[in-house]
Amino acid sequence: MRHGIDEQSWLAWLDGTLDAQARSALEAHLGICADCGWQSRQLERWRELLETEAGRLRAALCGGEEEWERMAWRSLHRLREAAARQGLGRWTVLEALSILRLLMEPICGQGTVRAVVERALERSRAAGPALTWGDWGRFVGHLSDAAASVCGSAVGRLVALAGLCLAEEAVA
Amino acid sequence: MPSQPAAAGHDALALFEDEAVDRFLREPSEESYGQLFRALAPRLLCYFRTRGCPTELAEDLAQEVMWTVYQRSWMLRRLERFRPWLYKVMRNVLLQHLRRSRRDVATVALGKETAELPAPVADPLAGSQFSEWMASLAPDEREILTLRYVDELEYHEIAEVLGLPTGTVQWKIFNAKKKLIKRFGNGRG
Ligand SMILES: [Zn+2]
Repeated sequence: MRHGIDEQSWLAWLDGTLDAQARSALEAHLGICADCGWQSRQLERWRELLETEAGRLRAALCGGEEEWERMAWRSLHRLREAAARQGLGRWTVLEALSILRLLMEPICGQGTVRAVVERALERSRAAGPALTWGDWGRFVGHLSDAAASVCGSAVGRLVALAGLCLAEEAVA
Repeated sequence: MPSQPAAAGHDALALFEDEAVDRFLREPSEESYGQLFRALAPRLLCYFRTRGCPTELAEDLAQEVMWTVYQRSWMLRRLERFRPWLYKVMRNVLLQHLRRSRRDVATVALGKETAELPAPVADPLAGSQFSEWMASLAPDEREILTLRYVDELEYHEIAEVLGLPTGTVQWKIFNAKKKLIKRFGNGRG
């Protein structure tokens, strides 16, 4: 707090969210107080400086079209390789997961499906953040259990059966 | 294939990104993923290089981030949640890398990196000024200002990425600017 202006008011003023009355009071003060007027001009100046210099930095460090294209190609190549290693014929593990979700959503609702899928994912991944076909059986087991307890045993059986079919179709 | 809008302003680039994200979240496929990758690559490279990673490492870490995006972003559903989530993933990937390599990378250690940039960059020392300013701040202020000005996140997005209240983020930015004013005056020597 200085000259009766607390930092909260400064923040709100800089942000353009100070209410009209407080704003005109603060701006009137800036007009007559050399100290606060100077600070407000410096803060504004530094916002501009930081934007300008950060923009130059971004332009210098973000790479170029050729680099982005090469990286995208490398990533797609990795996805295809992973799919091939898993003996995948028809769909990726991500697509199989989407199909399971679509099957469950009309019965259990989107929010519930998201929650049970997330919980099953946490429990079933062997390593790393990504679900793989290696984790699939364990994942479907956990998901089936969770679906049964939240949405009823029929949904649990449906999930288990569909999960099995999806894996078989994937290997075919 | 759609490419980055040439010499686009920030808004056009953000829109290009948003469209690619939205499309991938609605229809995840190789094609929409490829487009998403091209849209996000500049942001990813910039993130890691601003935090001191050499080009090759930045590319590797960006690949790791996009692998997670491919596998996990279906959980998001909503476009507006994507950006903070992406930055959390990037932050985790960087922290994991730092733990693995057991070394400290100063946030924004840029002098050498920017001096080695190839021809398209008009000024080979571009960015060194920002780097000098950041070096005078505490690590948390440096990270917040970098997220705000280089990565162009909103206050509430920075708050979500770092797990801080939005008011704290605003307050830290305000204080960091006051420090810069005190230290560097009007900013140009
Ligand atoms: Zn005053």
